[in-house]
Amino acid sequence: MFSDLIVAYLFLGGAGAGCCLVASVLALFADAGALDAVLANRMRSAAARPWRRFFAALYAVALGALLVGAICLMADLGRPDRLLLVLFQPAPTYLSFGAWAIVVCVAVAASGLAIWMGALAASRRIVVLVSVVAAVASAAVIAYTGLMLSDMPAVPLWHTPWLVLLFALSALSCGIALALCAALIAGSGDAFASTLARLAKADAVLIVLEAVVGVFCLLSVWQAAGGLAGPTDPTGEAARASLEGLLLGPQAVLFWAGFALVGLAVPFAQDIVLGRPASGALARIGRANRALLMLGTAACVLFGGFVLRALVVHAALQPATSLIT
Amino acid sequence: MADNKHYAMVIDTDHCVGCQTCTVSCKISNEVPGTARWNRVESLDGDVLYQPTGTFPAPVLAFRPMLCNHCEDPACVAHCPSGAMQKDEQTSIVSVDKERCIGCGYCGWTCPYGAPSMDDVNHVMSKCDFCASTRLSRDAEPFCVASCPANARIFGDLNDPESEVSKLVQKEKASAYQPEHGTHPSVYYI
Repeated sequence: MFSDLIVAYLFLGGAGAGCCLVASVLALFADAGALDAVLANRMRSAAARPWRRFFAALYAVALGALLVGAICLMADLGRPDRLLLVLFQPAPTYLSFGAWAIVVCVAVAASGLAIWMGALAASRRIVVLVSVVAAVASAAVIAYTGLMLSDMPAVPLWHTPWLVLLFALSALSCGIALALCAALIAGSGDAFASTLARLAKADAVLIVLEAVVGVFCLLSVWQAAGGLAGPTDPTGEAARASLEGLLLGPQAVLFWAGFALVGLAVPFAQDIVLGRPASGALARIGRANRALLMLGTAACVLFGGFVLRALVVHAALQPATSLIT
Repeated sequence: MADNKHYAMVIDTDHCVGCQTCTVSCKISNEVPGTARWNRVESLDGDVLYQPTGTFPAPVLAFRPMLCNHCEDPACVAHCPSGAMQKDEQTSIVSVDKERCIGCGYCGWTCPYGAPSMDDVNHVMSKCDFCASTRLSRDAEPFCVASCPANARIFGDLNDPESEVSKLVQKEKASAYQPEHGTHPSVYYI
């Protein structure tokens, strides 16, 4: 019942919110004096240009991903014309909460884009305010999809708190990947080289955490499947079938080669290289190749993020799956 | 409050012959649209319908008719983002308000029984309502109960201690399917 549009939405929403969070946190950590100078005169000074280019690119990509993701979500609904019911007469559910989180996140990402493009005059205080709201809204969007899925006891593959953490870490990693892509394509690779290197380091840490949490997630599902003793009820059977499908069955190639290898191991190794700007190996590969390596790493992370969500959705089974039409 | 009913159903799997009359009766009589199904029969203890389980000389061919369990704590109601899934406190029937449903399908996933079924004609969720408007309003039993040739289904009010369903449940002859989900179903199986 959850279609590929939902996979696309889970991926784009997570990555877009992650990128928005990266942009807002970077803006919050910017040097106050430098930020004041950049913001003066609607950022028309030469010194402001690299900042404009960098932050506008990050917010533009975040906004684009969030909007396309929201369109995928709406397209998946049987009656998208009734979406306003969820916004204005909501029932207290994670989905209603998430719908508002996306609306706020899109609005603040658009505000951030307008400010950093110089279309809106803004003081440092307003930039800080927009960044804080963007960070909170992004965190809400990142958190809610995992919470929504983990809140379903009928789907044992999803019914684990580790899934919330796994989705959050993956969204942050994908957010960094989007930010790296946006910065490099916008030509901010040199001006923000140290920032990008730090982001690559942070991504390496996130990938390790994602792998560890992924293992705990699988162990949790294995426990739901009865562990060594095996399943004792239909829910346990569904858990075991999901787990077998993922690790040994039809989704195994995508899981091991797509997620574990291309999505985690390869970008982790590349992030380690990218996070060491002074290393001899990196000095030898040159600036252009370094940018290409960074783009390649980001592509791997994004591919892994998409595959993770596709696997989580398609491997999900209910005790009464046969009833789903 | 005293007049509130708690409609419930007991299904005797010893009687069920897997003929699917209930499935067809429900689909046709309720004019269930498109590919949606509100009632279905599955194997009682196997994965494949109409494939016996067990070993010779004692193979078993048994069935479990499935429908909305009209739970006391329905997961579909708790998780519906638009408030379309509702539980009628006067009858205990869980139904979907098709004018409010946004067709997200969330209820179908969150229900341990997978009971809500997408109406792919009107693009909203649909489900069994114990034939509330078509049969119960005329003091008639749901179509699936009335049509069962094996008399495998017993329908009644759990709040009435003299009803047959009450007696079967009180005698602990009938039990809920997958009670571990904690939704407290109103459909019981013998």
